[in-house]
Amino acid sequence: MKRPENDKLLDEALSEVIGSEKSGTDFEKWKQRHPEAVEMLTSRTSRSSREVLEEIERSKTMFVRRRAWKVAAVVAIMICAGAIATTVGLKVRKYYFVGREPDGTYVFKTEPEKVDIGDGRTVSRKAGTWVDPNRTIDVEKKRRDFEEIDLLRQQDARELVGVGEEEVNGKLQPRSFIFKYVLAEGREKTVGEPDPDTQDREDSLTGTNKEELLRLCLQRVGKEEYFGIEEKEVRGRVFVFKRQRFVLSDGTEVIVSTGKPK
Amino acid sequence: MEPDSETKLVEAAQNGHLESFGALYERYHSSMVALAYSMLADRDLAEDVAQDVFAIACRDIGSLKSKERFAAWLAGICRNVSRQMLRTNKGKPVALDDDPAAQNQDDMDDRREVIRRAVWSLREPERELIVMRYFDGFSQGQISEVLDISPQAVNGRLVRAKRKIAKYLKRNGLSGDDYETS
Repeated sequence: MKRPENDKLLDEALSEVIGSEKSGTDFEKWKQRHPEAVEMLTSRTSRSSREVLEEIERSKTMFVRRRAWKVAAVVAIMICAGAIATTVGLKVRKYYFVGREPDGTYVFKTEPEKVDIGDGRTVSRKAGTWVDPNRTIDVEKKRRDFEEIDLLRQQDARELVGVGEEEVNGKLQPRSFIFKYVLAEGREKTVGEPDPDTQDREDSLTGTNKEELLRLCLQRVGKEEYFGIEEKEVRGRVFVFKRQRFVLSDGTEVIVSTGKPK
Repeated sequence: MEPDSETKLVEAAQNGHLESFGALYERYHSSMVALAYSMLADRDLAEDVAQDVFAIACRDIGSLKSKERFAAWLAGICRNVSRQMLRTNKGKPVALDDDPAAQNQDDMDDRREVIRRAVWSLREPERELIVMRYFDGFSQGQISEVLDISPQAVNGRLVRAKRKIAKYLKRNGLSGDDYETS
């Protein structure tokens, strides 16, 4: 009977160390502190127009989704417009807010458009933009920002301020850029975007791998362990890259290299 | 609470019924504090995170499609908000060799400190389980709902996590005989 007794001892020890006084669950107090959230809930109709729009949206297909912002914690917004950025001339694309995913991620998209993929063939593609679920945003303002950023992107009126590179078990992954855009009213927006020239590379990490890599990156915040520093020119600018090595629980080795302007 | 009645509460909340949302708040507030605590190792921050989690849930409950997975959805928000807290340095990342909570409690005796370190040396999924189990005595059923795994898996993983803790304690000078688990 020794083992059950010992198990009980461990239970008691864990309860003593982790155990909490019952925390207050005063909903009335919570309501007073969050009037805006309460207002949003109580003004809700049974089926919002956003949900309808979302359903319509699902029936249309063809977009490439990227969630690299989950790994690159410094990137607040991820735009996936590489596929249609090659269009000649400026196009004013209308963005619209599709809704939010179960984890809260904000989803914006453009209308579908025909893209020439060579040999006289075209496919229908649309740009998708995702915003970190933890941000509180003014949806209409954000939507207008995306339209303005899209025009600036087409003119390449932007500054490259960061480059993210990864190697997974020695294999180079699609590269990501961080661009700074200055909007007409002077506001600066930092946007993460894929490097269109490396999008043919295979993304070797699974979703679980990425979650784990993010966790490891977060654990190292403030105590990064760089094992190499190198200078490289990217889009006509010299960047200093600092390399960190991570080994995931399944043995996958990931080298994360972050470049900042020299 | 029966799953069916919880689904009805979620549905009612989605239709703007505040009292139903309040019932969900009462049911899951403590488990969100525990979940956040498992990531942040700071009770005050964990309380703040739980407040934010329900503000987000209140605002976005309409986007929840699987009403029967409300607890798991809430847990997902909680993990995101906790990570954001870590990211913005409002909280401190927890690391085995630099346990901030342990550092901040000089008067904590060695034994308690070693046990804390043992818990925070676990991988995140195991740490979530252990903290939820012992923070407020949540049942396997409640843990199962929040972490979205079967009660059997909760049981098996708890046993394995406790074994790891017992081993850690033994390696760090606390009597293995005292804490060995079955």
